[in-house]
Amino acid sequence: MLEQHIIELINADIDGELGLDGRKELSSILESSPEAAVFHKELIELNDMFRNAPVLESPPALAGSILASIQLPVRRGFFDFFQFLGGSKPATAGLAFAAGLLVAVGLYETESSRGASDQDTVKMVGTMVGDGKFKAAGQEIQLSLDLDELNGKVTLFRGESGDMLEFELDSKGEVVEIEIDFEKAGLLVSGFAQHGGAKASLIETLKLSGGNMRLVNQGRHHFVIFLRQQPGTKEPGKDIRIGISRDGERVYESTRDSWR
Amino acid sequence: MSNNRDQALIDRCRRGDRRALETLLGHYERPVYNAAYRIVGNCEDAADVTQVVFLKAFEHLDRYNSKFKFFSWIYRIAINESINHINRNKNQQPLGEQEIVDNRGPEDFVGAGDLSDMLQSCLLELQEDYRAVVVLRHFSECSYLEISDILHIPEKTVKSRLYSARQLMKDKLKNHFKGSSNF
Repeated sequence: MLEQHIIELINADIDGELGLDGRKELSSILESSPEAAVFHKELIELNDMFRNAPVLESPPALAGSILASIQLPVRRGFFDFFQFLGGSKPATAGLAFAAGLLVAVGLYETESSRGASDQDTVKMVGTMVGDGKFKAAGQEIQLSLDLDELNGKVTLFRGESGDMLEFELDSKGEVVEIEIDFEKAGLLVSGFAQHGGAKASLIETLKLSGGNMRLVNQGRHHFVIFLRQQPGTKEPGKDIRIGISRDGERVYESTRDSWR
Repeated sequence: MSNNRDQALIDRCRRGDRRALETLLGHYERPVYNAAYRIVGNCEDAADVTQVVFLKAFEHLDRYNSKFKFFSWIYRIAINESINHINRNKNQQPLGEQEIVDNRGPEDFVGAGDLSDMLQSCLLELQEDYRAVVVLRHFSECSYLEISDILHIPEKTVKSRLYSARQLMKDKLKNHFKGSSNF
């Protein structure tokens, strides 16, 4: 009769759960105990029988039948604005959200070196913490994206009292997650606006956590993020990190050199 | 399939994205069907169980805790639903026949081609909790820890059930192979 410890070692070996020390110990036991060697061989044979058992194909109509019977929630645009606004949520915005106004909270006025038709933020809707004005006051830098999942550009405008990051992207119908890290750049988010034109799709989720903003969207993206400079920051724009993920896998990560 | 990828697909399903649902179904339909088949013992019931598993999973997607792996969750539903299915069928059978799951014994299988059927027949003779660990370990290729997560039992219990189940399987197969070199 084999000791319980030996039975456990042999079973663990069959299951691939034995460490190096265990394997050494088992090897020595198998050399010295014919009974253990027979038991080990029998379990290997049993394991082989399981391994050789065929994997069955499910009935061809099953997947269709399952899909037809499952109801998913209705797709809708959704802004997680409470999280987005965090502690700096103004009372008026809070009231607006409480009243169920999720998107069309306010319009933005912008003045910049570029023509209004380029930025077109007047037609954007969203919310903003601050005075709602943007005055360009410096060189813009740009990041171009040309991926299988997403193409377009991200432009950072320097302003008098803050920066504005404009996204004009197209994910070609794929759902992509865009993560923007402002922390290293020493910037704080002060507002967000989304283009309300027919060509743009509404962002489905938007979350702000510390210096990190995460958006999930499908289709065309045209939105701007307003940023407040931390005192003492000179040229933080290139330190903004942008990551793109699809199905949970990171497909792009910007670096300082990505900005032009 | 990585849990990150599953989580992203589940998030999309929660937002009503049917393509994400199709992708998840594509990944898990066959494994769930096979696990169900090994427990309930026939294709028709396995298909019924698989359908119920996915219906329940997506109906209660809000109950899924992303701290845990999605496959553990769906397998747990699959194992429970398979065992419930067997028990429901047992209750519907006339008295006197309730203990019989598959009335073929190992001696009914003679050719090498029947080896898989014989293995299945021996498996169906095990009690359900033993059957579940064998299916998860040998057909779904789960580790002790994963089985422990799926069945919500300690790893120690996983091991002891698995060792006992193997011993029983070995004994049943030995009876069949009496006189041959195997077992």
